[in-house]
Amino acid sequence: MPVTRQAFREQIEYQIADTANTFWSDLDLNAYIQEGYSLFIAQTQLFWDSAYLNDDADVAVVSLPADFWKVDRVTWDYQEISELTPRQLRAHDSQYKTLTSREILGYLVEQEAKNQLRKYPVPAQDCPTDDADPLNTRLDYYQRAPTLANDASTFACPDWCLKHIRNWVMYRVYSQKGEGQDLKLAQHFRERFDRGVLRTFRRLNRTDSERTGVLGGSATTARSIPTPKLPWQFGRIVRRF
Amino acid sequence: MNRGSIRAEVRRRLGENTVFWTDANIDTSINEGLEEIAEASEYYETSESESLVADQPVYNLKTLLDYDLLRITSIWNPQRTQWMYPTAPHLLGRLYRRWEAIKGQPEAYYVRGLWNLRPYPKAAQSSGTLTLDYVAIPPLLAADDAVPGFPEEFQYGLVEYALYDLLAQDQETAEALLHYVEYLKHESGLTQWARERGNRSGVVGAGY
Repeated sequence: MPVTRQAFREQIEYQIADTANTFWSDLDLNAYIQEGYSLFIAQTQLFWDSAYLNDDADVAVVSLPADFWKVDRVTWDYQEISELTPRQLRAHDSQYKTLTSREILGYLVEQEAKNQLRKYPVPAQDCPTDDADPLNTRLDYYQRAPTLANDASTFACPDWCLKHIRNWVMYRVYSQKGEGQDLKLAQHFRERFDRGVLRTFRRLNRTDSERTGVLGGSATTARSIPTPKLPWQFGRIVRRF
Repeated sequence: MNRGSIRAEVRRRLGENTVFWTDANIDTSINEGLEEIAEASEYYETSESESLVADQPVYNLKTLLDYDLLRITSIWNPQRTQWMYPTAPHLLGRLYRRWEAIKGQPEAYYVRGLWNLRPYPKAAQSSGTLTLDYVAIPPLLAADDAVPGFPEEFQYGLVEYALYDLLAQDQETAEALLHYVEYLKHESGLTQWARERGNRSGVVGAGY
């Protein structure tokens, strides 16, 4: 059942024996809670979503979703397209900011303003229909933690994640200068938080590398096709005497 | 040991009656310890069925598997009577760049974030199911006769965790950290037990 910010804060106040807010105010605790929540979600990449960056004719730069944190994949016409750097684009095509084409071949995030993405080439025409159309740029991305705006706001993560966020809050609480400071406990909770983040991140990425066994043999895994290579003598002068 | 006996052991070690720490306080710490040890060791495994939907590329498992999901361990496709193998987008892209357009009976999968499952290929028809095996947080101990679902040898880890939690609340830092170190030993023992429950020394038909 989703937990509200108020309920979570009251649990912490009980644990630090400060329900009267003598040493730590609600404002401080709310800030630490949001900080821990944002850090935990960003570092573990727990939340993921997909959005269409609708192709409009002659519009290369589009805004990314407000909750964008990190790119997972970008696709166009069911194919993954690569992230490019400005240097690569300048070397390949000095007019990359004006060249138009129906097909999108790559994208650029580096030089653009915060939360903007540039398509390369510039779309030559509008996508046939917005959103769920393959001939449209689709962004798969990891999300940031939502803001807990008030005491009724609920955490979007599972309950088992809350203890990691609580570890961060305890670290900040016991680090704070004042009568309640306890640096040894603060260090302990910081280590618990770091361990929790690492464990969660490794668990979420473990699925990709597990193998399933089959009696009498091992399961086949997707193999890559050989990389094409030029003949060894390409570009050289070979003399035979 | 059930919740009642774990609580009694915690009281005995604290030298406490019900004046300072109530039963509710201790039970909360015990359940926190259960959640912590379950997440670290991944001992609790269960399964659910998910219906296939035609043309759906990504399945959000939040509603089906609730908030207790830790990770998917394996997926069985009853239509193909085969286990699906875990893969990654860059591996699928090496075989065929437009793999997202392919439809058929799913034979591979990958997961993004906690809840987003992507089978490959995507289902062509809205019929059939996938059986998802996953590890999760077990139900918490709600009554005094509730028993943790792992061997009793490791259940003293819950006692140590409760002692650590209660003493930390009381800012008895040094003593609390000693109990935490003891708890970690039980946690690592249960983790090893959960991973090596089967005997891998003899595998039929394999040349290991």
